[in-house]
Amino acid sequence: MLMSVPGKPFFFKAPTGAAVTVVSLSHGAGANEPAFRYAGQALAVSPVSVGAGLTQPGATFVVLKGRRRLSALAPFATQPPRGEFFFQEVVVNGANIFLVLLGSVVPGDPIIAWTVEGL
Amino acid sequence: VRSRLTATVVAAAMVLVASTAFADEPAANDLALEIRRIVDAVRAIRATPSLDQAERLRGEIEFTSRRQAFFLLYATLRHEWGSAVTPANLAAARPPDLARVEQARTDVQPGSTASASGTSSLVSKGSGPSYFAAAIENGALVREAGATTTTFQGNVVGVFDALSSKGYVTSYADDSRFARFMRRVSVAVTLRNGGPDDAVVIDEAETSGGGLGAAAREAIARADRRVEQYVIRTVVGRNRRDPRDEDNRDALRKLMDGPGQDLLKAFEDALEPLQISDEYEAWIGGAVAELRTVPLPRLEGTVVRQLNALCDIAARVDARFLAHAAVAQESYASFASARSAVLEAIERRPLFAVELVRQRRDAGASTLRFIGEMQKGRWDLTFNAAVTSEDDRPNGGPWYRDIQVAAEAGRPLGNRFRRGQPGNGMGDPVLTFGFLFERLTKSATVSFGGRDLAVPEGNLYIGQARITMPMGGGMKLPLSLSASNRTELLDEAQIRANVGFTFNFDAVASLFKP
Repeated sequence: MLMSVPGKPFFFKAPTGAAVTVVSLSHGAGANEPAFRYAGQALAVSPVSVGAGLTQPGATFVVLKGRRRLSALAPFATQPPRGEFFFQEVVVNGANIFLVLLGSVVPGDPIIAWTVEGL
Repeated sequence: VRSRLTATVVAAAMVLVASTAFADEPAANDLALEIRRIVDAVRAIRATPSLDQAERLRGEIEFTSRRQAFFLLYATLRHEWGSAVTPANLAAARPPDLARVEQARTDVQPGSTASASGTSSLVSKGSGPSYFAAAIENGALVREAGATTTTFQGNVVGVFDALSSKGYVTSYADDSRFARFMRRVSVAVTLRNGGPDDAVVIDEAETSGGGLGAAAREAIARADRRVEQYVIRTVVGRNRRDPRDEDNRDALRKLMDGPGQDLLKAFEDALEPLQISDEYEAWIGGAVAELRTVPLPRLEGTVVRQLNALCDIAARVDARFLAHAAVAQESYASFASARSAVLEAIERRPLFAVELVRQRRDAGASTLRFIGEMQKGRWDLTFNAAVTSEDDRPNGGPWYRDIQVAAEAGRPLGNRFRRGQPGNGMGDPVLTFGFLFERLTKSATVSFGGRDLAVPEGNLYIGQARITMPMGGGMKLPLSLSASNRTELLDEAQIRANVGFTFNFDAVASLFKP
């Protein structure tokens, strides 16, 4: 699980080797087909269970040591092009699934990035 | 049989001039606009003191996480020109008018169908407005007294979304199967506007008793008498223009795996060295502290100065920063172009719909109309086939009153890449050519040019050219000129033209709803 750093909304820490899953949610922004990238590698997008029988497109990566860039891109296919894409981390704790908001993007600014520091 | 033609040359020429008289908007306008947004956000944060004020300020200036394209463009222009924006740019920056994007649509029918009197349409289109469109179409430009109708048309789900204050596209988040089905369905009611010749006789029973109840009954009775027709229209088969359609998802997936990943990589190359550097952390700390305390009139200058400082840091941290920034901007343009191509391909997919038009004039009649739409290049093609039967059918006669076949081709004028952009005058006018064939098996009332005319049986041909001018604020002004083989439809000396106003609430909703 990503650990937020107080006062730094785009900076997270995580144990090196931890598996982190992120998903996107299209909120009135058309087809939900995001793209993800971590530490110089494109991440494969696949349906991720978010509970209640629902899935959202997402990707999983293994945290590397040191500060690395995690970025995401949303397509925005609505007409007129408004709406918002939310990116969330999927946290599984036993039978419970939590979605933790990482950030969101809007049509004029479709790319978002975070710094993930592997400890 | 004569054909009569006319042309609204002056009006058309004025529109063409208006649509082409634009100046290129410099990139400085976009930068200045974004700086103004940052300043507005900082003002708002400072106006509402909170424990997380510093974090919220930081969120506005994390240029390696948000507003990345803005920062890369700023750095590039500053390097090339010495400065990216001037105080004059900041003062002159204007936001884009998103309502023009909605106005640029050519596939929506906000006015009444071809069956109503006062209509300026020869064909019906398959897409209804998402929200609610009201069209007031006046069929008499040259006659003093022409029929005037008001059409109310809306998507059932969209109207409820509007009433519950959901945003224009927030409403699309509802993915339930029922809601998706209902979004295909639109309904419309056309009212004949009251005029000196349209006096409504109210039954005494409807006004008996007095008071509010009687007044309400009277108002309902008046409205009911004015209903000229109502329409139910639904998309049949797959709605291939829905971005969530399976084929469209595949196209978008390829877009994101190709140009999308290229874009993320290019931005990573340009910004990661700065993002993970200690210098960046130190800059954020200093910038946040200054933004918290600087006098408000100096906010814009402070933001610009801090941006300049960050550009210098980026160049120190990564010697190839500016080269990577240039590549990133090319990737951004490539992605935007590829995305536009995908979206235009989606817009071009064929669409089929069917509508039932119930006319309440005379003895009453019902029209079943099949609608096909497709795009060829920039032309939006529409085909209609319809059959009408009357309630009062003669014994031994054909079961149908008339058969109609119609086609229309329309295309927006002007530069396609400037649709909905600032500096594009009133927006792009849409040029349309239409043709209608109607075979009447008996004398019937035909609506054309805003009048209801008793036309004897036989074949009827109408050709029409129309130019629809956007007027701003969701309003459009259609001007049409027509030719027909039936002189009774064109009994003016030389001219038969139509003028009408249509008003699409979608365009206004896009302005007021997030």
